[in-house]
Amino acid sequence: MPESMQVVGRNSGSPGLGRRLLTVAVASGLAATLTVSPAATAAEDTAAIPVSLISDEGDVVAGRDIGVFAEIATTSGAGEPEIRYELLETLATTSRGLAEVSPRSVDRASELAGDDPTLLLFSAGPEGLLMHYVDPDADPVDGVDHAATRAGRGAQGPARQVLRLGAPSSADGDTLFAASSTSSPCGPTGGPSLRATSTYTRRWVPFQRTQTLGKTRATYSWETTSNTKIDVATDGKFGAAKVGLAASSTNTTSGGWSSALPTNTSRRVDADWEYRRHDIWCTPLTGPQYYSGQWQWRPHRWTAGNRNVNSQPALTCKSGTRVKISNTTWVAQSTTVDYSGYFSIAGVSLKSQQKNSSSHKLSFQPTTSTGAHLCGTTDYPVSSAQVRETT
Amino acid sequence: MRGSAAVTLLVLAAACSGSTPPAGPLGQTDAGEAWGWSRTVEVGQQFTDGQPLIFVADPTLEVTIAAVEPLIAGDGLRHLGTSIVGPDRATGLVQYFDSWPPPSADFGVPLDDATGARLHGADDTETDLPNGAGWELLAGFEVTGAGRSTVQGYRVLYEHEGRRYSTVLGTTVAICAEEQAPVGPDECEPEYEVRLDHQPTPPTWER
Repeated sequence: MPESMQVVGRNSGSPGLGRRLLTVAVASGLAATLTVSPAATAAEDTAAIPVSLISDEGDVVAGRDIGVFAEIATTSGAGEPEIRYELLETLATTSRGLAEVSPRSVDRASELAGDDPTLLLFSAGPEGLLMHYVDPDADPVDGVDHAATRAGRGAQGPARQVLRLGAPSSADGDTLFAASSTSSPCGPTGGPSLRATSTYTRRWVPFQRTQTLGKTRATYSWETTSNTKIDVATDGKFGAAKVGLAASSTNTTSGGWSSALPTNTSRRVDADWEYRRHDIWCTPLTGPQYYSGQWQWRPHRWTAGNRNVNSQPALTCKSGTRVKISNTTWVAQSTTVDYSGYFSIAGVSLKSQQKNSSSHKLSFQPTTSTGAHLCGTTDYPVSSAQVRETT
Repeated sequence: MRGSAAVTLLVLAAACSGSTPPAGPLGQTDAGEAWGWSRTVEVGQQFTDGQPLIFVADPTLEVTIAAVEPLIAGDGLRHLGTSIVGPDRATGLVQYFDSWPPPSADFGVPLDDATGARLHGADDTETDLPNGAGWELLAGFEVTGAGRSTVQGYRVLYEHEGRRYSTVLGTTVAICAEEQAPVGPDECEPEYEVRLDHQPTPPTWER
């Protein structure tokens, strides 16, 4: 384990911040510190900004991930500061216990407009490679309960934020490679990593279904993508396969749509999702990097497109769940709905998973003065994954 | 289903003292779930909210309700009382009656006062539902003033084996009250967010 490492971070897409040098000191067995020392090429970067590396062991060990994640805040006149997140650089470890710098930085800022926190981290550990999604604003239940955060602020400089991700075995991790024939496109000793490309594809991804009869209208409101996960597909010379669920690399934190169902309608609602191709590159312990010939399609973002798909098969009521309503009624459960078999990439059938919340509400409006009845497919409507009108 | 007055007084005294009883074996089926309804009504109208459902976590347990407190926001609602109906009722729940007290004939079984009611958990053989049919609270209100008033949930105080507990049910009511009978489509906006000082509590029990 080296006593210290130097990581040269790039700032693509963040004009004005210039090139930055990160010095990472890792003291074996001691509390580690990480110092961000901006080069004196930009006015706002002249202050050395100490930040703390969150580490309960203070050591870089195989199977642990460390990431540098910067929160860049600049004040543009009055009002709230403009905040952008950018991953500066990544440290990786190998199963042999050798700490090394990730061969690439992740240029998140150039990907999309928007202020969304973004992702990731990866390392080669005994358990295989994992990619973590990190969203500092997310509900801790949804992905950052394993990620600690700290912020340091220099006398003159902007705020920085550093995250250390949890152990790769975290349940919130998203497996980068499936445990199949495609799991090791780089072989046992080459550290795979992903390179985002400029190639995209889109799919209609289903999220919710409901059904009205003759006595209600319904409205399904969908906001933000933070509770959405979609399958990753891999393809290439090692074959096509499903990798597993992943959050989009860019979340839409505001926005959504509302789908109004008239009476006597059975409808599914789909969202137009953009996938981005990521090439899998291999980094052997010795020798240059090389392209593996394999790539992944990973969910990138919701395009804001949506559609209603009518004439769906009837939902089946769970016995004993029938309730009578007389007023406009809304339901927002904490249930999770999986949809499989509705879309595919490279011939591989994929799944979507929507965790319902107060941002994903289903409302029913009785159309008669005598009221109407609802039922749930798995429980009472308040607890059911899906709700419909019933007789 | 009647409980002792002594138990009731004990629990109410604890509630009034400012201490917060812990969560216990009574609650909703799942934390985070919420629903609600909204309606425009005339000032002076009495009605019943039948939407709150409550469950006992373990079929071997029995609890006694000491009080049901609607968490009212606004000046236009007066709580008239709360009844309860058990798992053997005919329908999962009846959301609304335009009267108080509600007609028991609609349930097929008698109604009881919620205060003092003894609730037991569901036997797995009694119902096909994951948590049993549960108990339906029927809360009566009078609309005392024009404007918007809401019920943000219900706090239920109860007792089990000498210990006192409290739980909050995340179910909302939005009432848009008018002096005269409303005409046209009902545009009363639901109360979507349950703004409580703590979240609804699922039924939990540690032996």
